[in-house]
Amino acid sequence: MALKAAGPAQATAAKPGGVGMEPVVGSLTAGKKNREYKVTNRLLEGKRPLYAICFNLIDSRFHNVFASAGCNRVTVYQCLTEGGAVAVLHAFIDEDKEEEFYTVSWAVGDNGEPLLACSGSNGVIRIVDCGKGSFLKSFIGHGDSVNELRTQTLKPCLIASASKDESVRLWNVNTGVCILIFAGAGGHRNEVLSVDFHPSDILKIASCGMDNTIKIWSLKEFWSYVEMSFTWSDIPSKFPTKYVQFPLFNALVHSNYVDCTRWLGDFILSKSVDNEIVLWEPLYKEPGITANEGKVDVLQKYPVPDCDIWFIKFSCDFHFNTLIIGNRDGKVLVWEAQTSPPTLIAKLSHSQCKSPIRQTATSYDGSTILCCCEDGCIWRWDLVS
Amino acid sequence: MATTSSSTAFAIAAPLLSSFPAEAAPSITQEGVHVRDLENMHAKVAGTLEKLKKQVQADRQVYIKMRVESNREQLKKYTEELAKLNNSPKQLSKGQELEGLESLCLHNERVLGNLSNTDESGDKDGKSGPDESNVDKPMPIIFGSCLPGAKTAVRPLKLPKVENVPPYTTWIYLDRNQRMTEDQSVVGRRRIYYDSDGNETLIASDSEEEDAGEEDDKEEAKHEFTKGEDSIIWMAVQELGVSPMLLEELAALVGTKHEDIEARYDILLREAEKKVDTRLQEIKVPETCNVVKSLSPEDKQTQPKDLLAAMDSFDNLFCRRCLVFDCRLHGCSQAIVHPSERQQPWSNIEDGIPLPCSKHCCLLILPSNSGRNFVQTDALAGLKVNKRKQDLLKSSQKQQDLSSQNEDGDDLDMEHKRSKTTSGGEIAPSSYRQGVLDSTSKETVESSQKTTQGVVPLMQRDESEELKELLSPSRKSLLCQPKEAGMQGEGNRGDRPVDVGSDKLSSKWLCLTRDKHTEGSDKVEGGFPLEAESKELIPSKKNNVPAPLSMDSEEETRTNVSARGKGKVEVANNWTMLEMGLYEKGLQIFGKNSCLIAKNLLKGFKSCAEVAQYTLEQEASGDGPDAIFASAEFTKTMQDIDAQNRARMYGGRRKGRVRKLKYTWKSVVHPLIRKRMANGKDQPCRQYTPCSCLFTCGKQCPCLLNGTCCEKYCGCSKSCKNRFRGCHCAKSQCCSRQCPCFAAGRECDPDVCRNCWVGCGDGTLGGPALRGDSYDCRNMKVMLKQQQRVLLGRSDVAGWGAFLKNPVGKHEYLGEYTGELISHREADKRGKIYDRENSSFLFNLNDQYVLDACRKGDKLKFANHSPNPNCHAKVIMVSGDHRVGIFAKERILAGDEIFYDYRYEADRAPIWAKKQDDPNQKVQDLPTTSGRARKLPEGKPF
Repeated sequence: MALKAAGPAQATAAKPGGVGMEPVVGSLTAGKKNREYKVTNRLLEGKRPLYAICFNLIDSRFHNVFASAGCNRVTVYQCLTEGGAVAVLHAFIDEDKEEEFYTVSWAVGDNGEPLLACSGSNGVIRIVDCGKGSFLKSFIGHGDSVNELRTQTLKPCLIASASKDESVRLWNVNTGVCILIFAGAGGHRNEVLSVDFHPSDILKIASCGMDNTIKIWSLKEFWSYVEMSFTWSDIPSKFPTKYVQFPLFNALVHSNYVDCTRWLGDFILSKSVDNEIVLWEPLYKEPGITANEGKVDVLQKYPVPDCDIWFIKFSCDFHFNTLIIGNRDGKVLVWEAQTSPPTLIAKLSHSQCKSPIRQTATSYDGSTILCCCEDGCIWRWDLVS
Repeated sequence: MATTSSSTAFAIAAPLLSSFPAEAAPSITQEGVHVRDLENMHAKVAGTLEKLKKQVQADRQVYIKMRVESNREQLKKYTEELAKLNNSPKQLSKGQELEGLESLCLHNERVLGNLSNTDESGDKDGKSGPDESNVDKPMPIIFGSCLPGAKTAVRPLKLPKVENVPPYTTWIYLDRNQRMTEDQSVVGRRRIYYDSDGNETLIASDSEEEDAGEEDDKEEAKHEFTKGEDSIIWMAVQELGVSPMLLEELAALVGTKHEDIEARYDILLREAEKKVDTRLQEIKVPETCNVVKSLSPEDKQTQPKDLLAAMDSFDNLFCRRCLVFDCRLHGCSQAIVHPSERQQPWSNIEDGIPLPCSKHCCLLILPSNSGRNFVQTDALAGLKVNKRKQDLLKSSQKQQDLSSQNEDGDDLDMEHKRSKTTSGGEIAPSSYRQGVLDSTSKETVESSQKTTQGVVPLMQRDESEELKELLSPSRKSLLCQPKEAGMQGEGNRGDRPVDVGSDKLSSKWLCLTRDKHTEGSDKVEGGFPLEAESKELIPSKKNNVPAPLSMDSEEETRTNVSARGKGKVEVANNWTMLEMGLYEKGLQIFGKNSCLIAKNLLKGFKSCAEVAQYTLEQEASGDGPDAIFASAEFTKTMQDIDAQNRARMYGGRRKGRVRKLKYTWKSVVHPLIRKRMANGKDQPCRQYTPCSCLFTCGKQCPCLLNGTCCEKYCGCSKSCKNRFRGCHCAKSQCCSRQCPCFAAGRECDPDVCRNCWVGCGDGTLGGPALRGDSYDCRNMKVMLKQQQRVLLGRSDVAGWGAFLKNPVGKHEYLGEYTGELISHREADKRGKIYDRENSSFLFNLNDQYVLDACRKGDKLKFANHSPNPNCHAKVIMVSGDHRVGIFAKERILAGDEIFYDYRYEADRAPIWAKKQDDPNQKVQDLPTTSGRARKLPEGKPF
């Protein structure tokens, strides 16, 4: 089932910013390609598309462990340093053959155990313990499929889920409670495709989706509930889950589905189906007043040719230095994320890699790049030193 | 980067340059001489602009670079910290030797070991080695660099199957309907769909081009100037001076009209001037500046908020129908309807006897008269007495002052209703009051003998005799009141002997009644046996009495005010703008009743006595009376009309006698409506909007034209022929078509219907007591939210279902179907979206609105469709609003699922809702239809 696919974008680009507000656009040709990557491994998981791949950057013990998700299966691997070898550590298969996992995210349990959260078309979030290799629990609540899971790096037991039911939910992996639901009067008006925690401001979450908007939510007024969730000992369904109905900020940066959003410091990286990733700054004005559409300052653009289908996600290394994205034709672009103008570090392609790359994963230092493809392949690229 | 930006700059500049000759062409014919100059000018302008633009763009690049750099610095600091943080738990957990990590860690070692083995053997492919020594644990599978299509041999762990809840879109609970907010509209907004089978995005584009065009126009109208554009405009003008040519060029560059550029320049100019001004000021006279600055905010603080401004927001935000601020149903800035009939203010006069409202009541402090008419009648006496009184009370007063001020510090209570119930209760301790009243009444007698001397001769002898008869019981009870509070009833009957020497007293009471009648004629209605007669008396008294009195009192007031010491005057001067504004409002609402004004509007600000004092001063100063008199006059006319209407409507309804009326619903409403009721099942019901007609509605009444009844929220009086007059059914009879309310698809309204009210409590608070279901009106359940507990669960039919917790009988009200009120146009657009998802929560409400429960609603939105349902939905008119109630069609057992017939319009119904043999057709599994399905109610209200 080719669920996550889309034809060429018919949308016109977002309205130009006006003289003196032009973004700096990275050049695809001018960059000095000072780094070279080469394919060191290729894994074929099956014929079904792989939608997610994710390094465990949350726990420094397992920086070389990654997980992939596709159809009803989640696999945990370890990247070995020598010869591009990859070891399979665990595999989890949902008994429901209809299930199709769209997303995985790492988390940390009460006692530091490495947990893996995964979810997909069923909308049930599964938590497995990758240390013991055991299934822990399921979170039921989303009314439709879950498109993305992300973990709060400062509190790695908190995960956020973006769902087709137009909501974002905040969960506590340890106590199993659904703390907050970001939906309602000011919420998304169509599927939520992506969500991300602010790297340093624990109170901020960004989400984006098929209503073409990117919303920034504040946990400020609801932080007491988050605190409450850490020590919740009663059954999870008794937790006083709160609705967060109004976002802090509502941005209309793109004119089509927004399928990936990530914080870059206080700025936001987001992409639609317009062959580019956009770096913009939310201009918060008049705190407290939730304007219908907040003002944004589009700072930079990172062109990505042939990237005009939705559900293609990009990734960054731990220090947000490299920005890596695959495209419809199986090519990978590696951008220097935090330079101005953006510089293209490398353009990766392989004669056998032709199928759309749904997501990339970047290792801690950016030296290893993993791509998962529509045709069920995982490609490993390593930096040539 | 630099290349791209400069190339775009050229791209924009090129058309500008090329357009010069074309622009210059007409000028050649006009003034051939200046052609060359003009061309030169053009070149100069274009060159300058180009230069400026490049400069601005370069600045922008520098700015971005700086921003990105600073952001990166911050982020770097943070990520490094985080990296440290991540490393520390590692050491901790290593010390703890966690079992859970065993698998991953062990794997790690073994994998490495394995790898080194393979390295030794030279097998660079790194194939899995399950045949090696460690068989007890599954061997890690290693994929070498070129191993295509290898299957993993790790035994996968099965995740037990968990069934998720049925699909739904996240929704918010609503306990009452809400009107859609503007930003929720999907009209004119592009929505992109994706096909679950194919690989295409489908952009919804069905004749919405017009909408899109409109929006574009709107967007074009507004151009927001960026900083860069501002600086270009500013510098260009600085360099070249304002010229039409420059404006044109700038407009082309920015992409707006040259008028906008001109306007923008003016703004910039003003801003620049301001900057210069402030700078100059700061340089020249910093000290004076500071003084001015420090003064001005203080002035603002001491200047209290004007009541008018406060009232403005009150008028805008307060919903007079729901009695809440910021009503989500009726919205803000509603048209304000001033009712022709004013609601009668509550009065503290019981059986004609004014009761002191608090310890600071003017009745106690100015004891010669009642609170409401001391001003005009007995100011003179009152003030004289007051002098003595003050001495008497001083000691006790002081003690009470502190405590009472605390008590009075409660927040201002705008709602009459509440004050009705509470204000009666706050009376000074009885012993204190007794003493006061005793002395009061004594002195009253003395003083009134003096004061009324001037009044009595003006009156007809027989009239005063009549009044004496009339009023003596009241007076009597005034004298007795503190001691025998329970005896008031006797006094009312008027069979007590009249006290000797009451002639003079009665004249005082005459004034009292006069005022009573001018300001609130039916306040006394209940207790007054001789309403009609006293009404007849009004004109003569009104003509005779007030003139000399008010003159007297005015004079006296002046002297007394000055005599009574400066302290009081100062108090009067302490009135803030807000308090004065509130006082004015109070006069409009309550007339000159200081008790009520103080209690309801100035609670916590001013005591009753202060209000009375202020009233006196206002009158003395001469600017008050006009307004006061005008308002009194106004209320009087209103009340006369009201009284007449009342008499006409109920045929002189009196207490204690219930006429048995043969009352059919046909006699209740306007014939127009009746006609619609008779033949109009197919017509959608009409949205009601209150009309602001005065007194009675004519043919131009918007309600009448719209085909709705007038309701209690209309401006017209109760006698308006277009009004729906409610029912006169006996208790609990309002549940069949015999009841005109029920027949018209309306709920009974205690404000309108004669016998329909619902009690609560045990009656101690003055309201009717709770008497049980069989006695109370049963046609008010939507309004009172007397609904059944509904549970949500997996339906036996499809998706979610609504279930009943408790068994209910036939015709029982189950609950309301709430949602967003959206326009029909909006509903058409949303319907198309919902049809794709094959779940529609639209419900036709009336000619203006459709209910959409998709994102906002309650559990009943999950009740499924069935052609043989156990419930039915009905649109009911409840207090002027249409609401959807779900009612049981038959007896339903506890735990049963609720079904009702969605009654889709035949041509729009989805397949599963069409009449079929199988009653329990799967709802969500069938393909969509092209129409937009909407639920319809069964009956239609008016």
